[in-house]
Amino acid sequence: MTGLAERQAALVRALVAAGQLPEGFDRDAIGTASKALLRKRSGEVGDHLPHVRATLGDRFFALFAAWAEGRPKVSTHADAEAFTAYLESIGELPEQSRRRRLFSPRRT
Amino acid sequence: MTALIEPGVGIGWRPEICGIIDRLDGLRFCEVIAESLPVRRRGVGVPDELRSLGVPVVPHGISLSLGGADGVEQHRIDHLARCADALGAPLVSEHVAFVRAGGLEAGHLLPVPRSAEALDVLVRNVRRTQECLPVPLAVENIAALFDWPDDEYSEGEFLAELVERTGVHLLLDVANVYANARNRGRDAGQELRRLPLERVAYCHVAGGSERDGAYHDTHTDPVPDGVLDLVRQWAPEGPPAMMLERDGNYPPARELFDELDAIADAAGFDRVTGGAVSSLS
Repeated sequence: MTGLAERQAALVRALVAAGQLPEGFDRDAIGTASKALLRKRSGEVGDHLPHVRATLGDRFFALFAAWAEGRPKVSTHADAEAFTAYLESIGELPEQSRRRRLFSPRRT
Repeated sequence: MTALIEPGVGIGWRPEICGIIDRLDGLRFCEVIAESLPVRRRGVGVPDELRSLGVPVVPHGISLSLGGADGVEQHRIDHLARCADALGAPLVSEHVAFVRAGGLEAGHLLPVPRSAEALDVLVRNVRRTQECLPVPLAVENIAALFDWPDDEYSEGEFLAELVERTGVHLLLDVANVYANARNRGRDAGQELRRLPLERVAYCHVAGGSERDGAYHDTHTDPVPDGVLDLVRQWAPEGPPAMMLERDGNYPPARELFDELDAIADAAGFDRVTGGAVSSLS
């Protein structure tokens, strides 16, 4: 692993997995970028789960953000499945929504 | 040299707006997100609505991670190559960025440090990709919300060096030049002129919005006048082909047509919406 590979990995950890801020980066700018990545991820999951987004309305992002804390993205499909299961487990979604939860993926 | 894309107005083809795009009888070209084209037993599937447009289509990759020190994955290059074949594309485009590292997906395009080491990584990844593609590759400047502490080159110097060492073309995102300049308090026009503009195959134009104290290139908002101003400044020199990128929060057809007209007018190109506008009334 080169120095750059390690530094890129540390930066991604700081952005999406609550990792420590690597030396020399602007804390506020990294915080803004981290939030933007979370919003983008949430939007993609919302596109995947239009019925869930419609059910939760304005609360979709806050619930997603709470769930995503400490759970880095593997794929939008995996996010959509796990987030739906979480919403059911906390009573935010009725169980039967599982049967029609997945909208066909548009992109990875 | 013949242009890879003839100057004129294009649009990013998205399934959500394919009916609107189909009305644009003057459209010069389209771009499609390569990762959105499904893998088939032979090659990739191309939606009928896209194929029937009869214009050049550029597959645009978003997950290759050309700037990644971990290297690019062969199956991702192969997918781009299959997209180019299936579309009969004049070129393929990707980004000067990395999207994953150490086994974690960032979920979006991240900037690489503008250092000699990162340049070597990019050169290696770009060359390997070029070798596997049936058509030329163009790479895009991204909008970055932060900088690396060890930037040694300006963006212009960095891209010029990358072009020099690989022969790669550029996909110039005018909105990203605007976003980066605005977020750093720099003059966007000056920043644009410092880029190796002679290598630009085509351009992206998009809208964004201000949030958390920074301008975000969202592709879900109207194109701001500051972005169109950059196109206007370029117009006297005969700019390359320009396309609108919209990725959600899609407006009514008429507003989309107005955006396309604004780009055409700013660049000095023919409008592509004539027949489409009259078809609405």
